[in-house]
Amino acid sequence: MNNKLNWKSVTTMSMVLLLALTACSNGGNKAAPSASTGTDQGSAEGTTTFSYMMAGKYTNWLQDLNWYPVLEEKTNTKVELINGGEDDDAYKKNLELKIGSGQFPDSGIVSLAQSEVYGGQGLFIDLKPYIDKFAPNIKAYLDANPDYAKLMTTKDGEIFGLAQEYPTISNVTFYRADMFEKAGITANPTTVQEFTDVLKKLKETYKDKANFYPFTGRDGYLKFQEAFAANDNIVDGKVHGIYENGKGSDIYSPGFKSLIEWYAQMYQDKLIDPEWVAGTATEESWQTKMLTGQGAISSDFFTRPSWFMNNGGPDNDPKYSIKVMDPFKDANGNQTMLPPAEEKYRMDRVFVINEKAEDKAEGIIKFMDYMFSDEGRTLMDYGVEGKSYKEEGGKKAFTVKFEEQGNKPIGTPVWNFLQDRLTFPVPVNNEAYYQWMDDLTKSFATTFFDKYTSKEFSSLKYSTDQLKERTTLLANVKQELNAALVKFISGQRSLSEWETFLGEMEQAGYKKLTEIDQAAYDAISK
Amino acid sequence: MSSIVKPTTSKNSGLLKRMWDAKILYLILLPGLIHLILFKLLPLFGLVIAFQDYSIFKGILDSKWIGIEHFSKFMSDPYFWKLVRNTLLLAFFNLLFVFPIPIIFALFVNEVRLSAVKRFVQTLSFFPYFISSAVIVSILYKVLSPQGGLVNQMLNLAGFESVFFMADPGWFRPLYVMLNVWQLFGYSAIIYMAAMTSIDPHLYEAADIDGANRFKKIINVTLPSISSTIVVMFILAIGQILTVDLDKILLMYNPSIYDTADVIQSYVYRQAFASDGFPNYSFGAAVGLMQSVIAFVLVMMANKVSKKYSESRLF
Repeated sequence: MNNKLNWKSVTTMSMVLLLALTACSNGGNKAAPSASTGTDQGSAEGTTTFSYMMAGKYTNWLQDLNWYPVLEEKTNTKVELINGGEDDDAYKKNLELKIGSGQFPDSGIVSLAQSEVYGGQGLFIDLKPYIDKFAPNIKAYLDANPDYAKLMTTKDGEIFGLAQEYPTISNVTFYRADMFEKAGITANPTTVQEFTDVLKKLKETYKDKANFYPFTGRDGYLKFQEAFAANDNIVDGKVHGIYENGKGSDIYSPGFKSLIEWYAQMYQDKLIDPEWVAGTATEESWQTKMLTGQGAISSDFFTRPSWFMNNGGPDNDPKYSIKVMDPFKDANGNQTMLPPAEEKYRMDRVFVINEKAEDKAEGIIKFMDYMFSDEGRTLMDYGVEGKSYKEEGGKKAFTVKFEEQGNKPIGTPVWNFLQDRLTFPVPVNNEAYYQWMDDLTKSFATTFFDKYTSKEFSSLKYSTDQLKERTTLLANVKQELNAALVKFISGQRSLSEWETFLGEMEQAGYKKLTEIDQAAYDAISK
Repeated sequence: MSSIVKPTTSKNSGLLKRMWDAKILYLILLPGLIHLILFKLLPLFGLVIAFQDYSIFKGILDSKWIGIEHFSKFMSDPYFWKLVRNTLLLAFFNLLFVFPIPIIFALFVNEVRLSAVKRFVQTLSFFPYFISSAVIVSILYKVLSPQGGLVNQMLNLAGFESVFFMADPGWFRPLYVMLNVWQLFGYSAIIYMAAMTSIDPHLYEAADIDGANRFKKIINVTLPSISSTIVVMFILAIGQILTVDLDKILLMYNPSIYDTADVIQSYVYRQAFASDGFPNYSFGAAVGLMQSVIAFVLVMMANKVSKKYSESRLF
C-alpha cells in the first residue's frame, strides 16, 4: 500500500474542504431572502412588483385566499410573499436579524416602535409625502380617524408605517348548556354572586365525577375583573394599573383584593381548575376537559364555542351543547363592559416600506391605497360578486359558507374573510366580519360586541426610552405579580399579607410602570 | 517525499525548516485552522457588545459605548442573589446526580458477560438522549398531572392525597435533575465504557489470581484505570456548572414555581428577549460573559487542584 502523500492529492483534498465550507455559507445565505431579491426587481410594463414579509402562517393563509389573485390583477401588482418565520414569535426573533443584516425586503411587518426608531435612522421610507400625493383613500382614512393618524405620526410629522385595524371583539364566557340543564340551572347568572351559586350547583350535581372543576380554561385565569372594577383603565385622563387595554389589572384598586378573595374561595371550594390557576393547563388539556365534561364553563376567544361544537362535542355526546352568557352586572347593578380582545390598532402589525425600495414606493402606496378604497374593501371583506357574495336590497350577503370554506387544509384555495388575521394592514369592516362566521357565532356576535365590548380603550404609544424601561420593569413585575397571586389564591400565602404584597409590588416597579403609561397617555392626548 | 511521512529533521534544524519539511501536513491543517479563526475566534470580538448599547441596525462600530452599565444593572437587580442561588443549587444537584450515575451505569454494564445483552442495554439507555425536551416535559406533565396522571393515581390507590408536582416549587429541582439523569446517563456512559475497553486484561487476570471477586475488581482495577477519564470529565462538568438546560426550564416554568425555577438564564431570556420592545442583545452578552469568566476560573481552579492531587489534568 502506498501511504505517501503527494501535493496533488492534498491540494485536491483541501479544495474539497474549502468548497464544502463555502457551500455551507452559501446555503445559509440562500435560505434567507436578500435585500436585492426584492429591491432589484423593477416594474415591468406598468406592473408593480415588490416583496412583502410577514410570519409564515399569514403568508400561507394569504396565498390560499381566492380574492388575493383578484387583488393583484386589479392593481396590476405582483407581490412576492416572504416567510419571515413560521409564527409571530419566530417572526419577531428573526426580524431584528433581518434588519441588522440588510435582508429586510421591500416591505414588511414591524412594530410601531421599530417603524419609528429604524425609520428615523433611515431604514424605512416616510410614507407621508407618498400618501399625500398618491393615496387619496389612505388620506381620507387618516382624516376620518384622527386617533389613528396621531398614533402613526411621529413628533416630526413623519409616517413610517400603517397599522392594522382590528375588529371589535372581546372574549366571551360560554358554558355547557346540557350540564346546566342537568344541574337544574334555568337562568344564566347575571352577577358574580349568581355565578358562584351556579358553580356550586354544578359541583354538587357532578360530585361523583373525579377531578370535576366547573370553571376551567387555558392561559390567564383572572376573568371578570370589570365586574370588580379591578381592571386597568384610563378614567378622566388618569391611568389605573399597568395599562393593557383593560385586559390587565389595577392591583391598588379596592376591587382587586375582592377579586382575589373570590378566587381564593373558589379555589378552596374546588370550583376552579387548580391546573389553570397554577399555570400548568395547556390548550389541549383545557379542550379535553370541556369536551369530556370535567369542566363546564370557560371564558375565551369568541369563536371557541363553535370550535367545541365542531370538534367532537356532539359527536361524543348527542346532548352536548355550548351557549354564551352575557357579561355580569357590577356590585351596583350596572352592566359591565368587556375589554376588547386586542387593541383597536395593532401596534405589532405595522406595514413599512424599505428605504432601498424607494423606486417602488409609489407603486406600493397605490396598491395599499386600493385596499383602502370602497372597491378594495369590498373585495377583501366580501370577495367577488356572484362568486362569494350577492347584493340584495343594497346589502351584501355571502353566498359561500364559513363552515364549508373556513377549515380547509393549507394549500387549498378558499374564500375566507377573517379580518382578525394579518394580510395587509387595512381598515376593518365589523359587519362583514361578524357575518362571515358559522351559525352559532353569528347568532350572538353582532349584538354581543355592539352591546358589551368597550370602545373606550385607546392605544398608547411609547418613546424608545419609555419602551426600554417599561420592558425591563415588566419582565420582573409581571413575574412577581403572577407568582404572588397564585400563592394567595391557592392558600400558600395568607390574604392578611395583602398590604405587604402591595409594598413588594411597588418596590418591584409597579407604580413606576403606571407612571410610564401615564406619561405616554399624556403625550398622545395632548 | 519520504520525509513527509517520516520526518527526518535533525535536532539542530530550525523551526521553519521543520515546518517546511512537514508542509503537506500543515496544508492539511489549513482548512481547519481557517474554520477555527473564522467561526470560533473572530466571533469572540462580538463580545464587545456587552459594553455597548448595541443596535442591530447601527452595528458594533456605530453603537454607543456604555462601559459596565449592563454588568452593574444585573448585579444591582433585586433578584440577583435569588437568581444566583437558584442557578447554583440547580447546577450543584445536577452535578451531584447527573455526573456519577453514568459512571456507575458504565461499571455495571461492563460486567455483563453476554455481549448481545450488553449491546441491547447500551442501545436502550442511549434512546432518551434523542428525545426532545418538549416531548419529555409534555410526557412529564401528563404522568404527574394531579387530575388523572399515572403517578397520582397510584398515590391515590395507596391512600395518599394527590401531589401537584409541576406546581410545587419544592419538586422543581428533583424533577429537573431526574429528567437530566434519565436523558443523559446512557449517552454520558459511552465515554467511560470506551475507556474501560482499553484496560489491560492482564490486570483482571492478576486480580483473579489474587482471589478478587467481581466487586473488588471493579473497585481496584476498573475504577482506578478510568480515573483519569473521570477527572477530565469532572473538570469539564465544572466548566458547565452555571449552564442549565434553558429549554427544559422554560417548558417546566409556571408562576407557581418561580421561587425555585427562576435562574440566571431564564431572567436574561425575559429581560433580553421580551415580546414587546427591542431585543437587548447587549444585556444578554454581558450576563453570558460574566458566566463564562466564572466558569473559566472554576475550570482553572479544578485543573490546578487535580494537578496537585492526581496525575490527571485537563491541560
